[in-house]
Amino acid sequence: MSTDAARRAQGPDSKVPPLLTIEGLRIGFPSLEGVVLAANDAHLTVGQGEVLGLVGESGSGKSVTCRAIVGMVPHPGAVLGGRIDYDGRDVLEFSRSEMRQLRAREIAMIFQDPASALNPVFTVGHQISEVLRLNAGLGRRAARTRSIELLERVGIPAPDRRMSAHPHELSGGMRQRVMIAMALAGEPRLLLADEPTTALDVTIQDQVLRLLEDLRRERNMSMILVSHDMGVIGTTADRVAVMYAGRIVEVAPTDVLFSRPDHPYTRALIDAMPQLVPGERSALRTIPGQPPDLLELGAGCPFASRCPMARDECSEVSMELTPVSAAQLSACPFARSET
Amino acid sequence: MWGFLGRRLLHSVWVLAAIIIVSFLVIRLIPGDPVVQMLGLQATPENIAAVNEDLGLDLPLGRQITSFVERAFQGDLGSSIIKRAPVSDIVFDRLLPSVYLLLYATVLALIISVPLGALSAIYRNRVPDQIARLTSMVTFAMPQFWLGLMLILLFAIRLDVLPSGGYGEGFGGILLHLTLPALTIGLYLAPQLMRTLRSSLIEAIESDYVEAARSRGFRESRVVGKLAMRNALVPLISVLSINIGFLISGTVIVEVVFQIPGLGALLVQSVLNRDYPVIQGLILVFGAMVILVNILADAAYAVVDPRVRAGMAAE
Repeated sequence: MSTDAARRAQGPDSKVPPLLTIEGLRIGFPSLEGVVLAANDAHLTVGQGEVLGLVGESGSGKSVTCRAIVGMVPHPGAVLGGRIDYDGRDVLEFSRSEMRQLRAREIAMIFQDPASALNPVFTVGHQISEVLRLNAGLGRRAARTRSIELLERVGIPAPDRRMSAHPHELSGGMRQRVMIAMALAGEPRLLLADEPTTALDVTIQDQVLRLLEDLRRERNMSMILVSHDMGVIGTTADRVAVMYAGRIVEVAPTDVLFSRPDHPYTRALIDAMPQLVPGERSALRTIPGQPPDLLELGAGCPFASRCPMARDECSEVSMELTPVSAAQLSACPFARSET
Repeated sequence: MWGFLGRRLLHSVWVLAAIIIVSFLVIRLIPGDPVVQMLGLQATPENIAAVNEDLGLDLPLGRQITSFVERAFQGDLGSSIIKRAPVSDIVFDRLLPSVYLLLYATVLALIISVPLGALSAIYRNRVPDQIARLTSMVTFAMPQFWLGLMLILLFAIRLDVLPSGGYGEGFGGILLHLTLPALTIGLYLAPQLMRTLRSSLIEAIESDYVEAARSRGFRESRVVGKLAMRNALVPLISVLSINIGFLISGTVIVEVVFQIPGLGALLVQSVLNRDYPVIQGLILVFGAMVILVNILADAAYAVVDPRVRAGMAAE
């Protein structure tokens, strides 16, 4: 069995313990009309060295779920319940200093917009060296040498000269590479990539995704790739979790998800991907309706109002993930019988 | 950056020339004759004419301006009509006390406002922030002469730890004597600096790069004190430089309350006496100091923010 196949097979019921397990995560934001649940009973696992794609439309809760792992749910939101086990320990129980250690040594994050996520007044070299000095305990000179190595590794030409550049002097792609270099500086075991290519040109997107994939392979790093772009997810992720209205509605290995999607929402997402077939003109398919108001969610399936397969029972369905096949889980009990 | 600052310095020559001409004309529009003031009411018209001729005040305005500008660029600002001494000497004697006072006040204002501004930003809209904002509002709203008197009452009379006025000798003496007046100005300046820093620091704290720094497990003290602070400094520098420019000629009241032999006190005295050359010289010095403060502020922006540096290079 090749290592790739081994990784792909490593689903939720694999023998190797996963690096990260999220169970029943609930994240709420207080509002005038009540608590908005950004994550509602979310379940996820990420295996060692696995790339988990987390996909869903804006506001589905994927970013917030990701941030909850490192205790960074934006104010005034808060985790209301559930567990986030990292390497066997629940990070929700971590003290401030344990959380700092976790962020410094174990889990790194890269952000959507590298233009605003880099500090505008410090040089690139200063920013990378700072991470190395504070988190890896390197001395000034060692940090500089290592920073140049990291910049070189992420594909920045003339890295020693780029050390003294400020973020505004770099292109978007270069900035994202610098962000990646900074994330790697702490030798993390898990990388949280929150829409890492959304702010970039398509050609640069591809280069950055390839770089992330190479780095993951080389370091056996696990990764959660958050994206609303099914194309990005399809090329990079080993397994995909589809999120809708704060819930995970389907989890499956990437090839299974794209070839045999189960949940009607997943199907709709895949159908909505633009297809380029030479000589053929087809209208872009969209998902009708709006994502539900997270305040007015009652029991049952939140997708029911937009679902082409909706039936009366949808308002009482439990939304529990049940196996469709060996590694595929779906929250819709009806779709599988209709294919 | 140096080229940019050099050009700013060259530009300032034109600004100074404009200041000289405008102030020259404005002063002469003020009613009142200095020679009459000087000689007293008993002076005969012949006497007045003689003195006018002696001082060059009988010449056409154009000639007066050109000769003034010519001599000014050689460092000669003329002589005081009243004191019969070179204006440059009179002004220079008064310059240092004012400059020291202003520097001391600025340092005190920064010592007060930077920690309070940071505290307010960190605990925004919570109790420490409310207290800091309320207190700063109170000191900002107090008139300076009253605040000065209250400080004298407390520190000089009740506690008897600081002198109530005057200008001491030697570094220690000057420092001691200028403490209360500097505090008076500092307490007026600090609230503005504090509020500016509070809002710019809040903006920085809520930015993506601070979020990213937190995600790397940096301590909050480093995240706010260094990474956010450096970004929050630019607005602080602007507000500080505008205020210093204003305070250069605005310390009159404090100088009078504390009997400091500074420029402000000299200005009041010279205006009352219609001592044209001294007023003219003071305006020139004030103008030069405001320009200098602005150039220093530009240099400070460039040091703090590389994007400003890039803009200067492009200009």
